[in-house]
Order: sequence, then C-alpha cells, then structure tokens
Amino acid sequence: MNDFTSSHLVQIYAAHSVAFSVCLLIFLRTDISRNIIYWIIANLLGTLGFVVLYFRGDEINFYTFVLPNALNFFGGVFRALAVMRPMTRRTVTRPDSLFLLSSIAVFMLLAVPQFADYRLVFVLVSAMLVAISAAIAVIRNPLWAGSSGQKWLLAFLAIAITGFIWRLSRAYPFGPYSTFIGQSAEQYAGLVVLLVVSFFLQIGFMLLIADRLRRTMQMTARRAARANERSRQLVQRRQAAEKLASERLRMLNVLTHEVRQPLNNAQAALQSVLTEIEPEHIQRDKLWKAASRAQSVLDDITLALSNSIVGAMVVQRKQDPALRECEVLAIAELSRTDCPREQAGRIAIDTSEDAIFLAVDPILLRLALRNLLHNAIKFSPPDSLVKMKVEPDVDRLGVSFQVTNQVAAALDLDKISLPADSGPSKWPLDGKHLGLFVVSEVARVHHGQLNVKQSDEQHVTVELFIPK
Amino acid sequence: MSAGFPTSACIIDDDVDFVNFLSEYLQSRGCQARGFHSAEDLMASGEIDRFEFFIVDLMLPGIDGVDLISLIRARTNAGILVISGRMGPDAFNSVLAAGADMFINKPIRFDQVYHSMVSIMRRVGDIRPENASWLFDEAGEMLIAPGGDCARLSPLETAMLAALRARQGEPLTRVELAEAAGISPGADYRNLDAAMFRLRRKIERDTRQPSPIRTVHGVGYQLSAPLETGAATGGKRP
Repeated sequence: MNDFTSSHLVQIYAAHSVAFSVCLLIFLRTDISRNIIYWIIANLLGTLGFVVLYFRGDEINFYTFVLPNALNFFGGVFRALAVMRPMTRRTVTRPDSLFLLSSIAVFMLLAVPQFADYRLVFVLVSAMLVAISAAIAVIRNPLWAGSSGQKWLLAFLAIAITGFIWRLSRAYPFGPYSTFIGQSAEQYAGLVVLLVVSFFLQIGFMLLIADRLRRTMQMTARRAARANERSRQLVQRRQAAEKLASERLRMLNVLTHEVRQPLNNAQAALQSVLTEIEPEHIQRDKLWKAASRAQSVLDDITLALSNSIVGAMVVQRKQDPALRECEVLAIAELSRTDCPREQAGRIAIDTSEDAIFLAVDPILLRLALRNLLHNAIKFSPPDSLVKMKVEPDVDRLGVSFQVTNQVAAALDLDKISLPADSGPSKWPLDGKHLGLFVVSEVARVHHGQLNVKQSDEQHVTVELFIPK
Repeated sequence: MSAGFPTSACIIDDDVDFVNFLSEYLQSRGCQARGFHSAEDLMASGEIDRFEFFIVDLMLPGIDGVDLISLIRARTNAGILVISGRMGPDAFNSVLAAGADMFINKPIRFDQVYHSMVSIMRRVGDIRPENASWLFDEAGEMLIAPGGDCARLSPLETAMLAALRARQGEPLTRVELAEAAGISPGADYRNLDAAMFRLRRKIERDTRQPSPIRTVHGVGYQLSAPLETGAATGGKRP
C-alpha cells in the first residue's frame, strides 16, 4: 500500500511541479527574468530526482542514491539562485552566497568513499545550507521587499529546515531506511512533508513574482504619469513661450506703428527748420514754431517708446516693484516738464503741501503722470488750462493725482474710457489707449486705482490714486 | 552747501556730447560745471570736495556709477543726482541706497535737470545729517529726524512707534499694532490705518523727510530706517 501511495505522491509531486512550471512559463511571456527561469529549472531537476528515486532498484548505488539526491540538491540550489540577487565575484562573500557555496562543498563529500556512512548526513546538511541560503536571500533581496510571498517562503523554508534537522538525528549510520522512498511509515511521512513544503514554496514564489510584476506595473504607470506630466509641462512652456513671443511681436508692432508716424512728422518739421534757416528765408517766428514742432514730435516719440518699453516691463514683471519713499511733487513737476515746451505752460500743478512722500516706483509714476497730462493736452482745446492736483487723501489714506482738463466740444467720453481690466492679456493690440493702459498698470502694481469722472459738461478728471 | 541752486557742479558721464551740452546749460544758469568721463578721472583730479553738486551716470567705464556714488558720499555731503538709461527697480534702489538724492531715467531735458537740482537743494540743502538714524524720545513723546527736525507725537502715536521700534525692523501686523497701541481696530482696521496715515503725514510735514515707517501690503507696518531711543533735549538731539 505504501508503494502504491508513494507512487501517487511522486506523481502528485511531478504534477504540481509541472503545473507551477507552466504557470511560470506564462509569467515568462510578460516578465523574462532570471528568477523564473532558475525556478523552472529547479522544478525540472526536482521532478527528475523524485522520478529516479521512485524507480530505484533495491541496491543502493550511484543511480539509486547519489543521482536522485544530486538532482534534488541542485534543484534546491537553483531555487536559492532564483530568489537570490545575481551572484558575482564581488558578491561571493554575501551570507547567502557563502551558505550556497558551503552547501555545494558539503554535498561534494558524497564522493569520498571513506565517509560512506555519512552520506545522508551530507545530503541533509547541504540541503539545510541551501534552505538557509534561500531564506537569507529572500530577506535581503530588495526585489521581494514587502511581498506577502516573502513570509510564505520563509515560513516553509523554516519548516523544511526543521524537517532536515529532525531527519538528521537518524541519518547516521547510512542504511536502506535512509532514503525517502521506502517501506517505512517514517519515509512515507517524510515524503508527504516534502511534498507539502514544496507545494507552499511554489505558491510563495508565485506570490513573489506576482507582487514584483504588480510593482513593476505600478512603477511603469507612475513613470508614464510622470512622462505625461513632463510632456504637459513642456507643452505649457511652449505655449507660454509662443504667447510671450506673440506679445512681444504685438508690442513691436505697436512700437513700430506709434513711432513711424511721429518720425515722419519729425522729418517734415526738420525740413521746415532747414528751409527756414536758409539765409534768404529766415523768419524768426516760423523758425521757432518749426523747431518747437520738431521737439514736440520728439517728445511724442519718446513717450511712445517709454510707454512700450515700460509697459512691457510692467506686464512681464512677476512681482511687485521695489517701492521706495519718494517726493512725488518733484516727480509731478518732472512729468510736467516732460510735456512739449509749448504745452507745459498750460499745465498747473496744484497742491497745498510743500512735499508729499509716497512709496512708489518713480520711473513708473513719472510715466503714468506724463500719460495723464498727454491725454489731457490731446483732448482739450488749445490754450485751455490743464490742472494736476496732487493731494493726500485722508479719507482713502493715500495720495491722489487728479488731472482735470476742459473737453473739446466734439469729445466723446468713450474716447477716454479706461481699460476694463489690466494685465498682460489686456495689452492694447492696436496701440490705442496705450497710455491709459500703462497708467492702469502703474495703478495696479501700486495697489491703487484709476478713475475717470466728468465733473460738468466741460471738464473731465482722470485720477490716479495710490494708497500710502 | 547752501539751499538754492549750486554754484559748482560735477558731471560724470561717458557721453561726451551730453557732458558738454549740460555743462554749457548749467553755466548759463550760473553754475560752474566741470565734466569727467569716468570715475577714475574724477578720483585722479582730487577735486571731489570742491563741488556742491554731482550729476552721475550709472553706466561708466571702470568703476561703475553705484560705487562712485558711495565713494562721493563717503567724502562729501553734496547733492547727488543720478541720470541713467537703466530703468530696472534694482538700479533705482541701489543708487539711493548708495547715497544718491534722486534718480531720473533718460531721456531728460536740461530744464528738468535744473528743476531736479533745485528740488534736491531745497530738500536736503544744508540739513544733510551727520547721523542717519532717527531718534525716538518715548518719554518726551518726540521723534527727531536725522536732520534734527522734531515731530511732536501724541500718546497714541508714541505707543504705535514704540511698538514698531520693539519689533526692530520686522513687520508688525495690524492686529499686533492695534493691541500694542490700544486702538479699537474695527472690522477693517480703518481706525488703525487712519491713525498711522496721520502719524506719517505729521512726521513728513514736520521733518521734511519721508517717515521711517513703511506699509507692508496685506500685513501691516514696519520701520524702514534705523531708529534709536533716547532723551531729546529741547526738541533736539542731545
């Protein structure tokens, strides 16, 4: 009965070994790894070993003891290699490598005839060393870290080692009962334990491989997500760069448009000057007017250039400007004298203070006030008064710059309506209202406001308010 | 140096035409102007102490304008006007920190140079301080400007300034300042902001200098200049 049962156990061993090998071959389709190949080789060797054991003759010789045990032992060696990190010359001193090499050395002692009585001892000790090597490898190999299969493998390797120790106590001297397959119940029980341990080791290894595959897939997914994110950022950067280039092109277009016409005018004015200064033509009044006109045009060019450059600077500035306390009446006076000479006389600065200090960027404030004055001059009747009132505002806790001018009869308030909003996307594409756009940007970066109101039918006031 | 228009000025700019035209203009206004085309030329002349006013370009060959301003300020209390094509906020802040009185970006007309010089002379004329610190007399409820002008403070203003002083230049939130000064802040700290606005205006009017208090937007206030404590005698530095 025992022979019959042992025969079935061997068949079951071979069957489970083949079944798990087939599963591993399926894994190999997606994960061609050294670990799986070694484990399949181990299964093949183990199965062959058991088959040879089963068909052994009565006599104990090389084919009935050494060969099957060698097949089983090297099957174990390949299992250890399957869970171990690659062994190289440099890593040969690792504990798992040392145990594995020691096991081979011990197994080789089978070849020494003088130690014939210790044959089973050598087989068991070498098997134990292989199991210990595999256990260390399972613990130390980072590939298996955190895998549930790690615990399974360790648990059943521990059971196998315990079984080997138990068997070791009866391994000397060597006799017919010292083989796994035989008539005794002890041999039968040993075979069952070996089969059960092998079964769960197979499951443990499958878990290791499955967990590694899962981690690999997760890592691949994360890498893909990162690659997608990088790709998205690159697209965004490219779009931002294109937008910036487009903005710069628009600014350049505006600049070109705004400057070309005044340059033509300046050429015309200078032509008049040259004509007038010919000795036979000199007329002082005409010369003065022509020269003034030339300077006025140059002032307009300067303003257009400043608006474009400073406007672009403000729009692209990522952070608020570094503000410093400045005396703003001096800045107001500067902006007044920035205006064409024949127009500056129309501008009166009205204040009750000797000095007003405010944290501003003086370059921006000067340009903003210059634009307010430029608009006031442009949209008011010639020779009418333009008033710039600069006063601390105790209600709103800041300083108010109000530019009031008489409106020309035909003036529509819409012509001086303020930009609805500010910011880079609001850059006036056609150059119209560029001055007011710059003023609104200056108000924005100073946390201030730009307001327009028509006090009566004839006067309009544009106010830049900056909080203190 | 006396208030009014300076009688002598030094122009340091590597633009030869600009220096010549501006020199002629200033001389027509009664100011003896002399031009140098680099900082090294000026240093070699040994005449720094002779001028009442300096007009400096920032982009000079060799020693740059900011370093030159520091060198001039270490030697003299003369007015310093910077005229430069550089427009970045860094340029503006660095020249004022180095000791310049005003920064104007090019292009500029000569009458604007004149007005700026007058403005600087009027403001700092003969009161340029030897000591750059403000003096806060908490017991006497007074604040003395570096130039020696005195602003008399109310108990509330004294408490606010004392709270700012205790923070040693770090920003003080509106909540902290209201608590320290015993102000009922209201929902939007309007009372506190109004009191601070009045205090700064008072300091500026009485001392003719920017107040040593700066608004930190979205946070509160902080001191922007060194503030020493001590007792003032008769509204003056001891």
